[in-house]
Amino acid sequence: MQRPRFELPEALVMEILSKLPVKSLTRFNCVCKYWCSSFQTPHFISNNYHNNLENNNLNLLLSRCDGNTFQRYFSQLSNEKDQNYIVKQNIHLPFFRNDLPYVYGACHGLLCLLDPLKDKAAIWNPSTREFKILPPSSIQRPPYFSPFEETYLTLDDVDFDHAAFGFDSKTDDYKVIRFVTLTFVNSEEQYPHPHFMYQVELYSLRSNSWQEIPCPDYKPTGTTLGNNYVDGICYWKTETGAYLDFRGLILSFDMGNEKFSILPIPEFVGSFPEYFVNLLVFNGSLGAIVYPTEGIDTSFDLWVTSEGVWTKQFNIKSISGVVRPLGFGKNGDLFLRDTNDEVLLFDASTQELKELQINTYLDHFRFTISLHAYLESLVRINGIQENIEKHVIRQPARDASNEY
Amino acid sequence: MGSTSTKIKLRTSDQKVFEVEKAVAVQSQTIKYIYENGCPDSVIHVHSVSGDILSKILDYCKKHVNSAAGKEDISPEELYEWDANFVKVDQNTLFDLILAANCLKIESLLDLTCQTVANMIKGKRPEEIRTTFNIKNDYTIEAEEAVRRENKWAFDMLGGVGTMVIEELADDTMSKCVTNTKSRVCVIAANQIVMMRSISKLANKKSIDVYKQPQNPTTPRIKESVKQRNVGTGFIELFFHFKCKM
Repeated sequence: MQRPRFELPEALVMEILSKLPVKSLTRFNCVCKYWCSSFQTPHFISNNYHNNLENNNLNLLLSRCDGNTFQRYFSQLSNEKDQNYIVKQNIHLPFFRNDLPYVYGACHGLLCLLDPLKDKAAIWNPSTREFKILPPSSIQRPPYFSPFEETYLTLDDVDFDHAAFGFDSKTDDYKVIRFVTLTFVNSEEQYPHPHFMYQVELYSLRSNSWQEIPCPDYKPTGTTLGNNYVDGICYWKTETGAYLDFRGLILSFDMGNEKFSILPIPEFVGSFPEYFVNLLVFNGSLGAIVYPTEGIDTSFDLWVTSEGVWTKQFNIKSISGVVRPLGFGKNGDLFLRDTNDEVLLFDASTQELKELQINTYLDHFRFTISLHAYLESLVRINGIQENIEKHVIRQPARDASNEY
Repeated sequence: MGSTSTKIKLRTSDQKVFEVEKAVAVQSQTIKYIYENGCPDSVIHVHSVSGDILSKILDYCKKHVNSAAGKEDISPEELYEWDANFVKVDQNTLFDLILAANCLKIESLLDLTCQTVANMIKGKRPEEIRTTFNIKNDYTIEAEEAVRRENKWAFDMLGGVGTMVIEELADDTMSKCVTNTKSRVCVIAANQIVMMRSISKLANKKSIDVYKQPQNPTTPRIKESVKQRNVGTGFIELFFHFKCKM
């Protein structure tokens, strides 16, 4: 490019720069000091994110489990539909070696990785490659007195099965909420009967610490597909009643006022045992994908809520074979997993099902493939660069194409 | 009849006068404001826009107004194509369009032109960016090196992983290219791929000397074997001097 006849005013230069991908902006940090500091201002970060949102600059991560090493790793899929979403690069997390963390988010392009078995969590911006390890919670675990056994029981296990990651716009803070299941046993018994207690912990990025909040009556029983946070509120599946009286419900948590609520899932949407109902975030709203539990062909209904009203968005007619949804990519394309754990794609525009050239290693644990979508973002989390302490390792896929 | 065929007169910085339909002109929020708050009969001065640029802008506004009103049978994809062709202009004209779209407050045109420039520059190196925007580098050499090191993953570019392209080659010329990857070099001369070799193999060829650009430009160039250097750890420039039979 040539030297221009004149200079554009700074505000317009920033306008242009805010439309650049994060990688370019990171490279342009060394153009001059003013640019470097401008890219870190909340105003610029917000404009850049807003542009990514408008242009739907979605990146897809397939989280899976290596069948040989049983390690969790991520495959970043290409954004191009005509490249059949091939794997561009594989991302390993040595920080979570030997663990299988769950992935929550994305919120403003940030993901939260949380180990369900240990007090180990991290917030990650895959666009800027910042990785922040959260401190362990110093919350006291309460004692458990069993009146029947007339003794205090021993704390045998602490699990963090359900969580969510989101943003509190009132305090401009990113928060992680997690449900803690405490298992107590009588250590003197040979085959002790477990007793459970629950706590809820809330982490704030601003204070970089955990605090305890009151536990709701309903506990989450199921996860969502991909992201379980949208528009200030986190969601989980919960339930009530026994088998025949079973009712699926939605537990929600407002990140701003830190309050729980219960929402019903209407009968007409579908319910177990005839149907599986998976919650997900679709086009900026809470939705559910409903599909039959039995049958050789699977058809999918997508429902979306808007201010408490459920509407059916569309239906995908029977797809042959038993398939389970992973989540939506761009343009309404639906990613699916079949019984052999191959990843398939239902193309919304051509209404065709195709197998993607994504090599699935032997996925030992059938339900550990999940799909996560995140928008490019410059949001800072005051973490460290990925490779500085080798918390994240990236390797290009063997057949990655040579593109910028 | 009525307001749909109302015309507005616009006078540019170089004293050209354009008469346009009101619906087209008020695509500009600035013109709309002046028209609605000023005297609708007199001419509106658009001081900072030249005749050529305004002419182009009015083409854009007309196309978009007609498409939105259904006057023209054009699909969203076709309009997108039209927009893409509209911005195929030289850099100076593009910058003029940006300034004018900003001043006239035509949001969709501003977005389009800014995105076009963004797409043009996204793969560039920092030095090229400084030229494009006439920016003085106020980093010290050490400070700039530190920033580059901190962000080195973002410099994996130019042909992607594994390929490096050398431009403008002829017999006995010095040519340079930039890479921080370890694999192949693709030498192109007269638009033909002359050879593709791994960097280590190139270093063994008699006719090729590989020079590493030192960190400090005042120290003399160091000639060293590419095989030994730990490629991939930083931003380097390779200078190639070789004979090439065409």
